[in-house]
Amino acid sequence: MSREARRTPPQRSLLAAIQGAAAAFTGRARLVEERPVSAAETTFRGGGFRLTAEIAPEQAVFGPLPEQPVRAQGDTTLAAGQRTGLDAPRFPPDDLRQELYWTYARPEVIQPVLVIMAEPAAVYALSGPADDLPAAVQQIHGWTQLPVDGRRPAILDALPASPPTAWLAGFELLMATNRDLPGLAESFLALAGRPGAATQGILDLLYRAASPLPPPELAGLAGKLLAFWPSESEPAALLGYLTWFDAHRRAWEGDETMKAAVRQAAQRSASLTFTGPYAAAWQKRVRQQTGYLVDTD
Amino acid sequence: MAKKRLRKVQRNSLREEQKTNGRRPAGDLTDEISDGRYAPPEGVTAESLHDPRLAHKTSQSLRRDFVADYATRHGNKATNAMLQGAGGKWQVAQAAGLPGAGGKWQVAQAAGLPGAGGKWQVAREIQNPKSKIQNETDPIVTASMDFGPHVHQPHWGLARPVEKPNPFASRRSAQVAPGGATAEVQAQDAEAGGVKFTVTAFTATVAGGLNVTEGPANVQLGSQTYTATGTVTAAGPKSSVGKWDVGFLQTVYRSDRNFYYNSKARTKSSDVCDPLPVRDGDTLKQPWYGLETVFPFSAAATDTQTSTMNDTPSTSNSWNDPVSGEANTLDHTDGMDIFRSWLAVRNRTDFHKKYLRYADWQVDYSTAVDTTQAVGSRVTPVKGAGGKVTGTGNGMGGKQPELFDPVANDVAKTVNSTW
Repeated sequence: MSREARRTPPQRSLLAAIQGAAAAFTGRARLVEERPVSAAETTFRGGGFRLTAEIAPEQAVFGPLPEQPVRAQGDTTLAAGQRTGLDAPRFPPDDLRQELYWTYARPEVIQPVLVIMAEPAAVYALSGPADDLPAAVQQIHGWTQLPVDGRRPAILDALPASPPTAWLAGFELLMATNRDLPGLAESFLALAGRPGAATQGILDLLYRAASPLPPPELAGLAGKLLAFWPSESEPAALLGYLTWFDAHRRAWEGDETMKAAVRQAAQRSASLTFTGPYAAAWQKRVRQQTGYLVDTD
Repeated sequence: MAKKRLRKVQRNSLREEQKTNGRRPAGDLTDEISDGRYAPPEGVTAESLHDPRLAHKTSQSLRRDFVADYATRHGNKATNAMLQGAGGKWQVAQAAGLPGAGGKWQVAQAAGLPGAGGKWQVAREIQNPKSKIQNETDPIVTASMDFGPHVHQPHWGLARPVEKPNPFASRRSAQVAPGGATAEVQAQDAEAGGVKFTVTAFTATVAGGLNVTEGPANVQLGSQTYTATGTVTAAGPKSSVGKWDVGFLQTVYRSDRNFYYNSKARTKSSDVCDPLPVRDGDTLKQPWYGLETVFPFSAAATDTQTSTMNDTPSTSNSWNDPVSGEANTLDHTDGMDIFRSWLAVRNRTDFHKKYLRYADWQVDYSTAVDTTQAVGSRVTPVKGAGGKVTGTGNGMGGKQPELFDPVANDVAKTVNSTW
């Protein structure tokens, strides 16, 4: 594992791990070593714990299945007593699988995992046989093997039945070779069946990618997003829109029509109620974020 | 006449400096050399750094920069001469091979070229009969005497005036007042080695609010992603343009994230950086924030490059008192990070740097916590919490970047106390 990155960079994306790997497999992990490490040794801010797991391979996801158990290493800020299983409460839920196995690794617990054999290996905790991550990884890897000009139709065709991780990786893959960000965003946001977490992840990528855009392109992207925001009802997606428009005010604040549309979409977001787990927490979060963007008094 | 005025400026500057900065600051580079934390080039000793010309520098990293730069250029022989007393100036001039260096050296000093790099550039130019600084009464040098009210002009050439890093460039630079998240100008911003740099776009932005992730055992508080972008055009001789990179640097000026526990022990658990200020970025990639922000200019008469940096600082702690273990006692949080990021160009050959734009930004970690609520509804950021760009401006902007390791994450530590 590289020890050079010292500024808590964003988690390496699932796509980046897949693109850097020759193989991926599912298996069962058990912790074999744990030791405290200083701030100078971790890849994140401050000290933590370095965990070593031995993983018994079970099934190939892509590439060859290792014949012997493999060892992987990772760091976490959490002490053993603070690490809980995937089923423990967490808000917002980690639908984009940004947390690695090390967040959940408990001594004496044999954990189903997915291992992407990149450098360093990316190890994800799995909830069980029904976990959709292995299938998503297989699908994403397939996309990366296609010729560049064949990726877009294949991805857009497959997405409606895919989990949020595949939506995000598909967008990230196409974004790397597509300069028409507004057009690419439109093609994804127009698809039915898009999970809220996928929209939020896509908007987060666009948040970063929009920063260098010249004003006309930025305004064009804002216009495309604004066309889809008013019909969105997933709270995670709404948070993505609210955050994007707050960060990129130069895209819309100078245009009175756009400004009114942003205000209207934001106020609508704050007025929505949600159902399901964490409904109240989502509502509180959406209203808070709306308050940063527009005056809600 | 010009020479007399230059000398007067130097004397005044020296007096002012001795009044305010004459003493060697505590914990400076001398201490670092003495206790082995910083290994200077051979020939540079802790004692040789007692010279007031170094002592007046408030930034350890600038002094390191100077020492490293000096050693690179002149090896070991002249090092002590350079660092010992006023007479050293002349020895240095001789070491640099300057014919009749006297007045010309003063010209170089008065010109206030930033850093050792600029100084030696002047030295070389003085040697070169075609140089624009070959004549002491050159109008460019005369113009440099207009120091203005904000420019502190130390008597030694390693000074780095903060508002006008290069007097030659300052005559043409456009000023953008701080206060906004976006600064866009299209005037020439800096010139070095015959290359003119123009910033055609610069933005710095971060969405408001804190990203709060509530888990079963702990809570994580983070900023939304801060992102800054600059587009720079370099124009000049092809071979010179191709020697420059553009990228971002960042320094942390404050970083304390405090978690208060309403337990019997009344624990305050703080995630802090010590010492401050400290460089921010990747270890060993100094002075840059990260190599992903660094782009070389092509060896062309004109080339334009865009650099972008992202940062998403965060912190976490447990719901339970981390010292006593008393369950679900987190009461509230506060604290702040304060950063400055600079868009800069740097010559790969002589490491000369020009700071083109800066952005100040901060993250407020203030929240109220109610651990009687279910996970997901416990933390409420207070009004104004989260990230905010507080200003942007031209040049270095009155603060000096920390150029050398360690980086912020390496000096982060948890400090437990009571409240």
